[in-house]
Amino acid sequence: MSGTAHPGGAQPDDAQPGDARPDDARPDNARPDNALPDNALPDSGSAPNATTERVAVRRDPTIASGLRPVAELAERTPIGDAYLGSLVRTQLMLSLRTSLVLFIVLVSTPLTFALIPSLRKTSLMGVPIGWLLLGCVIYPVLVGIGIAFVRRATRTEAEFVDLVTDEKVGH
Amino acid sequence: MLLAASNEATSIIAIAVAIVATLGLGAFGVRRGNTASDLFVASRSVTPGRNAAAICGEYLSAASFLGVAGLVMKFGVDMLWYPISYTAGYLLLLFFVAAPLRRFGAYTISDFAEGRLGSESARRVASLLVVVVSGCYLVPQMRGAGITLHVLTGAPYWVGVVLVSSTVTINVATGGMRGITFVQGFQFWLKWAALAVPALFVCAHFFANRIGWPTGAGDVGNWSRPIDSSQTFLSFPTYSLVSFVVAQTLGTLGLPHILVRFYTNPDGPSARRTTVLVLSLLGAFYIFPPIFGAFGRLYAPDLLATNSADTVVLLLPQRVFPGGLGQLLTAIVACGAFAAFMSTASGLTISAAGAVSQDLLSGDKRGFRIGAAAIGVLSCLIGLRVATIDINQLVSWVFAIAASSFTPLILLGIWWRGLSARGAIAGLVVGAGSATASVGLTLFGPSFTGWPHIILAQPAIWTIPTAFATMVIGSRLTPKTRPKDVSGMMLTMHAPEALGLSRNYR
Repeated sequence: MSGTAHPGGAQPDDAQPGDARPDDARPDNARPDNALPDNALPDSGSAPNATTERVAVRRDPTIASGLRPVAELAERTPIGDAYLGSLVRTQLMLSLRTSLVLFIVLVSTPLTFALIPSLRKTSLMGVPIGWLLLGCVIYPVLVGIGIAFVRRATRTEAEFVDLVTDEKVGH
Repeated sequence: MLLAASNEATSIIAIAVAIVATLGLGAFGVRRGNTASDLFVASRSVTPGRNAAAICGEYLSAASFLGVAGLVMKFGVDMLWYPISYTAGYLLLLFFVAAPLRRFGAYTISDFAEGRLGSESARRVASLLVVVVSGCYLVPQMRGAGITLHVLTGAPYWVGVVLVSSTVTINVATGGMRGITFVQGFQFWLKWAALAVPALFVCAHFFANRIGWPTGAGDVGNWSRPIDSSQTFLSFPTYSLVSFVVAQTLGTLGLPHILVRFYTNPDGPSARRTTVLVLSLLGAFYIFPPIFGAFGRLYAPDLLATNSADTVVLLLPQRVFPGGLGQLLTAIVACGAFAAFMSTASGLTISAAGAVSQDLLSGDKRGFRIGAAAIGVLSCLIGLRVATIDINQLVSWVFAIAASSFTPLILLGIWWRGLSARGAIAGLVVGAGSATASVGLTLFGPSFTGWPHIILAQPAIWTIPTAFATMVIGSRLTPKTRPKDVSGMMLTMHAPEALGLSRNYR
């Protein structure tokens, strides 16, 4: 998304939370791409064709109710809360999954030494393997986990921005 | 007197350099902005690289600089889990806290408690805990300074304590955070070089002369061979280690002087970048202390007998390289050690002074300075009285208290809509209370043995779940004390900045 529209320009004046049918937007799915299954939106990620998008956006029922997703968020309507809830859940699941990876990495060293006892006595260039793994090798691994997490978290946020400001092409 | 006279002179010069450089850089920093907001968070204009170095400068305390090597020397390879858990804590901080906390926009933990819970009482409880945690954490820094100066120069214990606390208080009271961000970053690199240079010399010596790896002969247990999961979890050493790792990793999320650093990032994504850089810098640092510990086994085994393994970092260079080179390396290490004490103590003083100033005094620049002076004097007085308490034990208790109070507050506050003010306060009181009581019993109570002793001396593994459970159950019981506009808060913490939806809750 080129970021041409400023989301601050959302018009919440005619926001009528009651009009919005919760069924129209149920962003329960983790991936924002799938978040609006009922809206007949073309896959905005793979369809750079602006004309197609413009047509699709006009069919968006939330637009029909006069409210863009970003305005739903700003007004904290039930639909806005559902959008936000999906973002928070996605990020939380990502954090928990990555924590699990961290846990497995940390537990794997004592486990390896238990499964392959001879490894505890093995040395590399005069330094025992255990010292090398726990004193040195583990740190780049931790940094790698951190970098992978930041990439995913950033992508999730970018997709969320795309999702809730989708009709900006129509400006 | 442990070292020769000429060596004392070099060490004194090196320590003086560290102190003068700290004061000088602080004074340089003062020349920019001087409002109360500048003092607290450097107006949020610090780049991720500088901020990361500053966080590490603040985080790497006496326990990391001296303590890790001492533990490795004493107990062997399993102690490598200490620096690993000190580092892994930042991964959890990255996953669960960094970006949302920054977006919320509060200066301190107290601000977060008040803003997120909409409760003055929550703020006061949090502020009290900030003072307790920072104060407990200041004391081991003072102790580190006292013993370092004593070992290197023969000066009485109190000289080091007074020197560090006065330098830090002056620097914080006059420079505030802006000066400190600058100074902390510098001090990280100073500490890093102070360990890296001697360690690389020792490594070169090891490979050049084909010395065998130390075996830990004459010691109980497996000094050179790592713990494995065939040792049952319920054996004492394994329980202690696991409880410790849990306390360290979760406690990092609740350290007031570290969290305050995240507000100096301009936005959420840069808070994440900062945290990843912190991980890299910590990894680059923690490679070195174990080298001192391992070779201390070969070159300074007498330190084990006198129970002064904590000083191995300071004494090893002289033992491996007698003469001029050892003298120079000792001076470098001494300089780094003082950088470690001063930087951690500065961060803690800022946090405690901020809490005192905002909740007891006027909350302006003058209140901040009075707070800093009060904390400085108080910690100095306590520091003078703890000459016999072990550094790492004190530090691990601080982490356990933080992990049982601030960590659940921050995690639930960021991710759970249902947190209520009463529930959060109950959790803070119960968690911090039970952890503090365990520590107090271990220190001053009747001497337990076996399981009761272990459970009280390493309380984190049961106090952390207790604190979480209290907060959740308490919040469910008191839904009326939930703050208004939780949706808006969640939006502020989790919505990307590009949407421009954030609101001000502090």
